[in-house]
Amino acid sequence: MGRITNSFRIKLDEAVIRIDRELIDNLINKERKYAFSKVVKAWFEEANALQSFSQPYIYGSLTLLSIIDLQAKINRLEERIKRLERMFDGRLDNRPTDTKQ
Amino acid sequence: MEGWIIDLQILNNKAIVWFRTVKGNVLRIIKEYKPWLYTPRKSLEYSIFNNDMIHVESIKKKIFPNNRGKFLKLTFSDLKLYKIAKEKLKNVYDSDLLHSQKFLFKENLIPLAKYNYYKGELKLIDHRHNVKPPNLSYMFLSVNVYNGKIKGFSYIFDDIKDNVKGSEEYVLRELAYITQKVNPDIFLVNRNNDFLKLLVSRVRIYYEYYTLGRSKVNVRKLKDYRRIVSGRLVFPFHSFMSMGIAGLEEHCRFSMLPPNIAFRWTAGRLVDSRQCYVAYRKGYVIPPSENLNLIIRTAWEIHLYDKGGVLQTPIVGLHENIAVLDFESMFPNIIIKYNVSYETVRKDKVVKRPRGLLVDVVEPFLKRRLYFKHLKKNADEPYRSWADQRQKELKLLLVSCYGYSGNNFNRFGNPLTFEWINRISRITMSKVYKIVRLEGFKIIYSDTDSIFIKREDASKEDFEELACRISKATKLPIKVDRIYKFLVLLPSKNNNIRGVGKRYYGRLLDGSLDYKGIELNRHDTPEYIKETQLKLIKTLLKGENTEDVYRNIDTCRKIIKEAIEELRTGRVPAEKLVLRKTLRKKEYRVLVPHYIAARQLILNKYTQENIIEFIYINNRHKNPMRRVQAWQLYDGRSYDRQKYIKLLLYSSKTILSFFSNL
Repeated sequence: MGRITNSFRIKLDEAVIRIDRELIDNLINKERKYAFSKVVKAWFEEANALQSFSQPYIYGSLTLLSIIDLQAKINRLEERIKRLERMFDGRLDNRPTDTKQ
Repeated sequence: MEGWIIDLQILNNKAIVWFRTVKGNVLRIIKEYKPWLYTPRKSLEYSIFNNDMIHVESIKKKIFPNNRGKFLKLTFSDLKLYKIAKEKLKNVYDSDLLHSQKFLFKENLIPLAKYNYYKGELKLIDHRHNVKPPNLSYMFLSVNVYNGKIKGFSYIFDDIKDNVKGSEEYVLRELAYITQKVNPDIFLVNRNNDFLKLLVSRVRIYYEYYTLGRSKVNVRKLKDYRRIVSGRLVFPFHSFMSMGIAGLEEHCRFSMLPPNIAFRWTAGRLVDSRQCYVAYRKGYVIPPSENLNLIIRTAWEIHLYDKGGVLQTPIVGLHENIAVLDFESMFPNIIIKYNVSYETVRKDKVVKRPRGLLVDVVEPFLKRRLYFKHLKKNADEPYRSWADQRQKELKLLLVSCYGYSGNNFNRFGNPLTFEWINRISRITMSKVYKIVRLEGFKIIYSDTDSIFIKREDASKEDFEELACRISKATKLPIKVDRIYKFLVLLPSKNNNIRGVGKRYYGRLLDGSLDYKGIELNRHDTPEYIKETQLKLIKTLLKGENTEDVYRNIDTCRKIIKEAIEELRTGRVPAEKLVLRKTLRKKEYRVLVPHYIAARQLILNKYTQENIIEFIYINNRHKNPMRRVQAWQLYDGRSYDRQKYIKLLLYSSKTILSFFSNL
């Protein structure tokens, strides 16, 4: 009734179904198939940001968001590795602090 | 004499106004009515038309949105001539309004508002914010129809209860006789809007003249079957009760339509009627009812601007200390504050002048709605219910003003209007997000005009202070609607990692429960399943912190086990397992349970009603007709325990699926 464009949620749903049917179903590696569910979770969580992004090609927006999500995960892992490294170093090195070089 | 206009009838060149006085008398006031049309002066020489039957006047009128033009106003003394002229003339204005609309617009009469009738004049004496609706009398009428024939009826009027059975001729005669005797203003019937059509078709067989309304009519010559009850109103019982006479009065006030039309018409058409009234009062000619609504733009522009409101996907799971901040009537307020209307929106801006038509439509009713909304909280019964009915109907109408603004059937419509409303709402919400995050709150869900936020240490005052700050920044009223101690945002039914809007349950600070989008809200959930689900929520959300909630899961499992055991052993009374569904179509392709139950009722000579009650007997039976039994026909046999256990597990899963596997 006057509205020309579909709701973004509908577009997102359609895109996810299409990727799932045409790409993910044909993947050989099971780990990758499982990874898709996590990728989708990030898309739905950030649907609002995707909606306000003026990029007209939805797959481009989704890819961009996934790159950002991956970088966030890498950052988290780096932090965690650093923390673990510090803990690990501390456990091996039990000398009093003032004697450390 | 004080009273209300309850019905209107247009005959050739007169309008009959049915005026119901406060004391219970009914007056038939006759007023002159002459329909009119406008046609551009260029298209016609007025000497062609000017005669005794048609009065022609040259006049200057405003054309929506910003033009003026010279018109010929053709005023007819005969409805037939008016009809012919409407068909013959191509370029006409004010042509597709109903006669009743034209009469009420011209006379500025509001049906169901209070008037004083003195010396042939109706003077509005209505207090604008009077919550008490007109005290009209009701007759509850349950009509028994079988094979298209009226077999009998039962009725309730005040303390009188009775039923009538017999030959159709006798039943119809008694119906007219009883109606004349008790003289109700409103019939509340157990049937759809097609009741009067059926009644007229049956009455015609036996009688030429029939008096069910407040005047005798020749039913065999009756063109408009609704006129069989002129002077009275007929509404389906189920749909009328939620609206009530108070809600109906709001429809009439808003649309300037007689009650029987204001009840029947969709919200969009009511908005159209109001717009036409406002345009008429502002001196515009009323354009035809459809327009193409085309604004030439590039696909890129459409992609950029044609977007809905903001919705942040809910963060699925258990949350503690959550407040819901809700904008009060966000879209109507945006319309008023930013002067958003069909004639004020441009591609790149909304102009401040002239004051928009839509603003004039929305503003008085927004004030009215807020008045009743706040009154509802402080008033006692029955004033509370009346105020609630009024504000609910006004809410629907106000939201429809926004929704209808870009509709193709909106004669004033312009798609930029609703795009601008959405755009301003999005800008407003992004301001809100920034403020909320700056203050250290986390947004867990937001939907168009409300936002769910949490912060562990936040008190009620902190939330209220935040609402104040937002209100100042956005210049739109926002308030703390409710605060939850615990809130569980549920995932989609089909995808358990994806959150969906309007599907949650929680415990408010005062201990009461709040839930949306779950089985408890559905009318077709059996009482026993609802009780169990409510018990589960109550048990689960007991305690002071989230650890307590997780500890309650085992107790919930026990409750489910007990409920399954009760169902398995048949200890649950059948009354608590009845499902209620609305029959929306006459024929269904698939034999769905409520359709089967409806068929059973017809086969057993019961009156078919819209709400079908049934119970599962054997859901896996080969013969679909034996899977369920209509509740009226239930003979006490054993119900399908497995089916009910399945329903119970399904509803329990909704509550517990986030926490653990059942």
